Amino acid sequence: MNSDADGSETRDITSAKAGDEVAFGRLVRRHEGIALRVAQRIVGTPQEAEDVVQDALIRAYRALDRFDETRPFGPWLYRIVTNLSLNRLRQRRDTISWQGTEEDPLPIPAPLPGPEAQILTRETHERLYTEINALPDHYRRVLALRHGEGLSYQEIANRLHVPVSDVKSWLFRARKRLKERLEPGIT
Amino acid sequence: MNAHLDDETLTLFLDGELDRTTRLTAAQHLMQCPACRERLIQWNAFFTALDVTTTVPLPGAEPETRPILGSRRLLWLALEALLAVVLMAGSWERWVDLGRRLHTWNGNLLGQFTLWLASLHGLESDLRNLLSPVRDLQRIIPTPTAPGAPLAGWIAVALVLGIVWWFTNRWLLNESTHT
Ligand SMILES: [Zn+2]
Repeated sequence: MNSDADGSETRDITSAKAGDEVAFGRLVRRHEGIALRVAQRIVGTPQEAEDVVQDALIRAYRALDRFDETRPFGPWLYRIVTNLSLNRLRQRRDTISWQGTEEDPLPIPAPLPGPEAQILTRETHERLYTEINALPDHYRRVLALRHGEGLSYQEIANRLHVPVSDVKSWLFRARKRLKERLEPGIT
Repeated sequence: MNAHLDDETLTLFLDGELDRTTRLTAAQHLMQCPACRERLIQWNAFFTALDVTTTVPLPGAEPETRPILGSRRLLWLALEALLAVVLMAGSWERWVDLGRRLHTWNGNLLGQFTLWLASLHGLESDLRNLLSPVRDLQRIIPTPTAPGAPLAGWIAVALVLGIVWWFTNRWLLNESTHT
C-alpha cells in the first residue's frame, strides 16, 4: 500500500531532492514493483519492462528537483514509465512500419499538477475487495485467473471450459463495472 | 489514426491480447493522442489495483478455504435444531408409539433430538448439493445466507423438506391406525 499516511514518502522526496541517494533508494523500492507491472503490460516482456523502469527511475531522479514533494511520487513515476514504454514500442517497428513515423518520442511528463491516481490506498483495496465479492461467480473467477494468476485469455478459457469470446466479454464487463463503482476513488 | 481507442481496446492492449497489427495501430494512436494515453494510464493503474486485490483469496474462488463453521453455518445449525424440536413436538406421540412397537424407544429425549438434528442436517446438505442451480455451490455447500445463494434452490429445498415431512407423518399415521 503506498498511501503516505505517515508522511515518510514526503520526507524521502525532500531528502532525495537534497541529494540523499538512500532516501531515493527507499522511494524506488516502494514503487518499482508497480512500475514494472505498468511497463510490462505495455512492452510485453519482463526484461524490457526492467529496462524501461531503470530508465524511468534515472529520469525521475534527474527531474526530482522540480518535483513538488507534497504530491504523491508514484503517479508521476507511472506516467514516465508509460511514456517510455510507448516509446519503446515505437522503437521496435519490427514487423510493421509506423505510418507517419516522424513524430517525436513522448517527453518525460513534467512534475506538474494533474489528475493523480492513488491506486493502492488501503481504503481503495478494501472497497475493491468488497465490490469484487459482490460480482457474479463467473466474473469473479475470470478476474482471479487473470489478475491473481496472470493467465492469458486462452488459458482461462481452457481452465473454465468456455470459449475465449466469453472470457473476453466477462473480463471486460467485470472490470468496467468495478471501475465505474470505484470512480472517483481511483481516477 | 483519427478515432479514439475504446475502453475494450485499451484493456485488450494492456492484456497483450490484441493481434500484432491492431496492437501497433493502437500504440501509434496512443503516441499521438494525450486523451487516450491518459485513459490508458488510468486503466493500467486500475489493473495494478486488481492485481493486488485478487492476490488475496476471494471467497468463491477458493471454496476450500471457507471456514466449516462460520457464523452463518452456526446460525443455520441453530435453525435446524429449532426445527428438530418443532418436528419432535409435532409428532411426539407417533414416534413414541412407533418406537415402542419396534422396541427401539428407550425414553432418551436427547437421543431422539440428536437423531432428528443429524437427519435434518444431512438431508439439508444433500438436498442443497442436489438442487442448487449454481454448479459451484454444489461443491462448497453454502449456507442459505451465503452471498449468491440462489433463492430458487432454497425454495426447492423447503418444498422437498415439506413433502418429506408430510409423507413421513402420513406413513406414521397409517402405521399406527392399522394396528
Ligand atoms: Zn485518442
